[in-house]
Amino acid sequence: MTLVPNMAPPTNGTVRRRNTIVVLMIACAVAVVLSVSTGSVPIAPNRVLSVIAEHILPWSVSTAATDVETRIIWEFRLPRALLGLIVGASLAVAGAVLQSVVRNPLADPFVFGISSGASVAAVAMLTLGIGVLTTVTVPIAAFGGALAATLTVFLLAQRRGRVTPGRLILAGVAMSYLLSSVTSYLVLRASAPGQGVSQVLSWLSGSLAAADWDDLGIPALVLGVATLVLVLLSRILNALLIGDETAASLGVDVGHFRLVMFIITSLLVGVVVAVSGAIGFVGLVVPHAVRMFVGSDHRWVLPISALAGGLLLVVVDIAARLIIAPSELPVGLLTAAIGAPFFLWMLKRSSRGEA
Amino acid sequence: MSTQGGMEAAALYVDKITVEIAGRTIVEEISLSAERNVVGLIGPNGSGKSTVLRAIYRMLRPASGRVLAADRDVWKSRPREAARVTAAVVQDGPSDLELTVAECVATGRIAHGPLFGSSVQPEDTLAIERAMMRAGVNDLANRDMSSLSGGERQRVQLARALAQEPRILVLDEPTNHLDIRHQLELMTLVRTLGVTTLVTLHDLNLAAAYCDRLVILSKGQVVASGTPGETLTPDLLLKVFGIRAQSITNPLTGRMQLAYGHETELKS
Ligand SMILES: Nc1ncnc2c1ncn2[C@@H]1O[C@H](COP(=O)(O)OP(=O)(O)OP(=O)(O)O)[C@@H](O)[C@H]1O
Ligand SMILES: [Mg+2]
Repeated sequence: MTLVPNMAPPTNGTVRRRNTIVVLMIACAVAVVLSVSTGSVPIAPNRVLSVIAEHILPWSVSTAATDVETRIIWEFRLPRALLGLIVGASLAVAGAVLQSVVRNPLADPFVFGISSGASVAAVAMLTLGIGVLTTVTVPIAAFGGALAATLTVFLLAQRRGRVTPGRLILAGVAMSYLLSSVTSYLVLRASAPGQGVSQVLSWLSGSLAAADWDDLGIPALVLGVATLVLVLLSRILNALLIGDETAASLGVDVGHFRLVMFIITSLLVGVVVAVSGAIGFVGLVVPHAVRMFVGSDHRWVLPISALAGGLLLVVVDIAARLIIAPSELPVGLLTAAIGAPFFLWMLKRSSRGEA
Repeated sequence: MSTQGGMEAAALYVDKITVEIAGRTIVEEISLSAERNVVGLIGPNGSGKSTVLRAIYRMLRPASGRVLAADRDVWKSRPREAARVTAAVVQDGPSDLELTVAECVATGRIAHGPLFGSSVQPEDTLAIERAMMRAGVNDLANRDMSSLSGGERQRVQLARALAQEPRILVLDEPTNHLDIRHQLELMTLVRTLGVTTLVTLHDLNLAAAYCDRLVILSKGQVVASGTPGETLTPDLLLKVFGIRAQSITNPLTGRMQLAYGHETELKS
């Protein structure tokens, strides 16, 4: 059908975007293997691969690795690398969604106060001894905290039933500050008896070090389901980029849709903060870079951001273990070191363009 | 009636709507109707034109009154159902995050097909291509929206609305940013669509030349409605717009036109 010969069906773009996905998947796999071989005891990548093969292939494969290496790989490093993928992907997807929902490229789960809300809830559970600490209850609490923070920010930023991006960002930053101070208070309060403090401290700066297999299930499930739902709703996310008025005329109940998006991003952010703490700026940097490369269509931005976010966090986590080896930096410290200047650069650019 | 491009006109009735924002009445008891014709909504800045349109495309819920599109109460329908009948070209603020032209036009298909559906159906592709061709933006398909001129952007928004295959079209100052030739082309295009159209215009001559009927708003109320000849009288123009005007016949088109000037520069 050649009604419009010039319309150039987006084959070019589609091929490039598909290739990007394939390249990123390969890069993620390579990064995971490198991440597993990195550490105080370096393990050769071929041994890493054989241990992984031994565990996941139905037929038995003889391993070149020793028992100790096998334990290190399977029980500590692989869950850590996979958690990096999941956390990075979740934060990047959440960032991409937030940015289009508030129509501002500066929105990020961390900047927005969502991560802080999740942290407060998780830290409160740990230090105040509320409820039973499990891999299910802590993420639920963190989700609750994230959602409460998001909705508060949303309500503060809303005037006469409408939300402006500028107000939303201001409210989000104020909320981050407030909640961070509550978190600090809770930690200081608990630090005398010493219970749970080291865990809490690793949370505060954001770290993947405590990962084990049990931590992966819920975040992986949430990431998979949320990304699928979001990709299926990508046309509506695209419409929001044009504006609320146009989106309303296209049959989108803008207020309602925005609320659903806040719930989904809170869920994504809450469950990963429960495991790894508040790792900032991945949700800011990754979607931005992805959009520069493949455009703003959410059908592509979301899956590509997920892969790129996972890749970035795994790579940064490798760096976090190498920079001051044999000790390691919290990965959140490094993402902030990369992300904060980037944020300032974007802020400068956006205020230069149009207010 | 004309069914060009699968579009068929439907009637629009606005029945005594009152819209309030933060307790302030913005427009009061507005009634108007349009059926298979082009109706112009005109009035000075701040008279409530955009507000009336917002109540039609489900952006602002009226405090009282009804909006009927194709005999269905817009505010009692589901948003997607309403959007299958009515499309709008509106004034949205600029965005830092920009789609390409083709992606923007494709959002016109949201109300068609399943809610959860990111794949593009053949009928969607057809509607998108046809809409882009009609609005004359097919050459721009792969351009970023942010790289377009104001007038090109406006035409892309029209293409987006046409991709919706609406039976009623609502246009808020669609000729904004367009050069004269494109203004005339756009209004001619609107007339040939055969879709019921409600359009706000600031250019009274454009309104006189291309609208079948005009509804004149002043301070949130309808002060006149009828054909351009009936409504654009010197008295009314003086009262509502504060200008002295006289209708003349355009020697080129033979249509009615207004000659006007500011009081300070009148000859007599
Ligand atoms: N969100 C809002 N909050 C407060 N007042 C508003 C809001 N939107 C519109 N108004 C007021 O309602 C009145 C009508 O506005 P509207 O935009 O409908 O006018 P208009 O006829 O479209 O004007 P223009 O020709 O300038 O586009 C104006 O006085 C405006 O200040
Ligand atoms: Mg207006």
